[in-house]
Amino acid sequence: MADLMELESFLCGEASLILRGDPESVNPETSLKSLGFDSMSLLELLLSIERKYGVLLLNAGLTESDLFSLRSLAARLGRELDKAG
Amino acid sequence: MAHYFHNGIDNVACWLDLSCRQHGAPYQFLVVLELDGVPDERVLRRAGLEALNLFPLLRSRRRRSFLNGAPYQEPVPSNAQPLSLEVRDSTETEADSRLSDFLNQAGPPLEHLALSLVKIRGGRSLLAFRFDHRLFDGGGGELFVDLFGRLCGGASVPEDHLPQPEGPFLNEWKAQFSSGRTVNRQAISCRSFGQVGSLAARRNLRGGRSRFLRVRLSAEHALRMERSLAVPMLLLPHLASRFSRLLLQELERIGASFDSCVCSATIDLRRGGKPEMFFNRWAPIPFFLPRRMTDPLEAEREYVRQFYELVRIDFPRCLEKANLLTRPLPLAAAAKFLGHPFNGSPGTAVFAGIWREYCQLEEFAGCRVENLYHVPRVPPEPGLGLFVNRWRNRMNAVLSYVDGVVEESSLARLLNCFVEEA
Repeated sequence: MADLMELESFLCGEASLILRGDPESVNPETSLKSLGFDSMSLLELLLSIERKYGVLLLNAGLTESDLFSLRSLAARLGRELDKAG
Repeated sequence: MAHYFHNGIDNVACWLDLSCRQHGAPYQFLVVLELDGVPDERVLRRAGLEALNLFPLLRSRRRRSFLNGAPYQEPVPSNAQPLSLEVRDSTETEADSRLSDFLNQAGPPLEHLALSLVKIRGGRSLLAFRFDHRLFDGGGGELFVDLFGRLCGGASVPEDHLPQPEGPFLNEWKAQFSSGRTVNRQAISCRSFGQVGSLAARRNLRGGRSRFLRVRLSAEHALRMERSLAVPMLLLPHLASRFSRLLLQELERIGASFDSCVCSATIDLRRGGKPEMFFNRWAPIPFFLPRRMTDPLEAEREYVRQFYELVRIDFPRCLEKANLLTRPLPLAAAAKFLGHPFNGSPGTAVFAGIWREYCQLEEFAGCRVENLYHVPRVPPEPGLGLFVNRWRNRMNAVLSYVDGVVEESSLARLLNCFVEEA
C-alpha cells in the first residue's frame, strides 16, 4: 500500500520547485489552478512523477477530480502504484 | 552609461527581429484596455513621463557587445519629450480599424512606448499601448500596463527592478553547451516531419499591412471548452490542435504541397511571485500535425505527446540557457539551413497564449476596466497567428494576419476553432 503522506510531500516539494515558490506556501488542498499551474508546469510535475516512480500518469486517463489538487493527485498516484504492485 | 543586456530568450528576439528587418515591417504588439469611460489625457501624459523617468530603458538604442555579440539597450539622455499619445474619435464599428492603423505605424527608433486613446461615441474608450517586442513580451506588456495604471492613480512605484546590467559571458558554460546541443538537435529533428506547409510562401508579403479579427468568449463558453479537453488542464495543446486542423484544411484548399503543418506555440517561462517585466521570457515550441491526422481527438493527443516529449528534454528551458552557444551562429545561415523543409518560412502559423492575468487592475485612470486583450503584429512569415488571453475567467482570441496571407472567406473558418462547440 503506497504511503499517501509521502507521495503528497513529494508532490508539494516538486510543485514548489516547478513554480519557484516557497515550499511552505504550497498547500496540498489548494486547487492546482490557484497554485499557478498551467499546461507546461503540469507536464513538468507529471514528468517528475514518472522519473521518481516510473508511472506515466499522462496515459492513465486522468480526470478533472484527479487533477483538482496535489492531494487528489497523490491519491490517484497511490492507486496507480498499488495497481502496479 | 548603463547597459541593459537582453536577458531572457535572446534567440527569439533575434530571429523575429531578423525576419521583420528583412521584410521592412516593425516588430510590435498592442495591449488594449476597454474602458467604460474616457481617461483624462493629462493624467496619462503625467504617468507616461513618470514611467519614462523610472525606466530609462523605454528611451534607448539597441547595440551589440563587441566581445560576444550580445545585444543590449543603451539609454539615451531624455530631452523631456512628452509621451507619444494620439487621441482619436471613432464609432464602435471603426474602432478596430483605428487600432489596426496604430499597430501598423512605425514608431521613432528610440521611443519604445506609445499610446493611442480611441474615444468611442457613447462615452466608452479603448486605450492601446504599443510595445516593442524586443523589450517586452505579452506578459511584460501586461505588467507594464498594471504599473502604468497605478501611476495614473498616484500610487508610488518602487524604483526600477531592471535586470542587472551584465552580459551573458562565459558563465555556466557546461550548462550552456548542453542546452545548445539540445536546441540544435531538436532543430535538426524537425526535418523528419517532411515538408511543412506555409500559407505565406511565395506570396511576396514584404512589408504587408497587419490586420486582425477578435472574438470574445464568455466564461461559460471557456468553461465548456475546458471540460472537453483530452487531458484536464492541458488547454494549450487542445487549442493549438484545433487551430492546426483548420490550417491543414486551409493548406489543402489552396492546393499547397506539404506533409505537415507547424504551429509554433509560445510558453511563458515566468515563475514565482515577482515576475520580470522587461525582455522576452517566452519560448516557442513547435507542434507538428501530419497531413493525415484529421481526427480531433487523435490530433490533440498527438500534441499532448509532442509537448510532453519536449518537456522531457527540457527544450523550453534549454532555449533560454542556450543563448551564448547559439548566438554566434549567423541567423541568416541558420534560416537557410532550416529553410528547405520549412518552405522558406519559420512555420505555418504561430499560436500564443497568456494564461495568467498579469494585469490585475479593476480601474484605470478613474475608469472601470471592462476587458484587456493583445493584438500582435505577426511577422510576414508565417504571416498568421492566433493570440489568446484570459480576462476575469473569460477568453479573448485575436487572429492577426498580414494582408493577403489568407482570403477573406477563410478568416471566419480559422476563427471557428474557438466558436465551434466542444
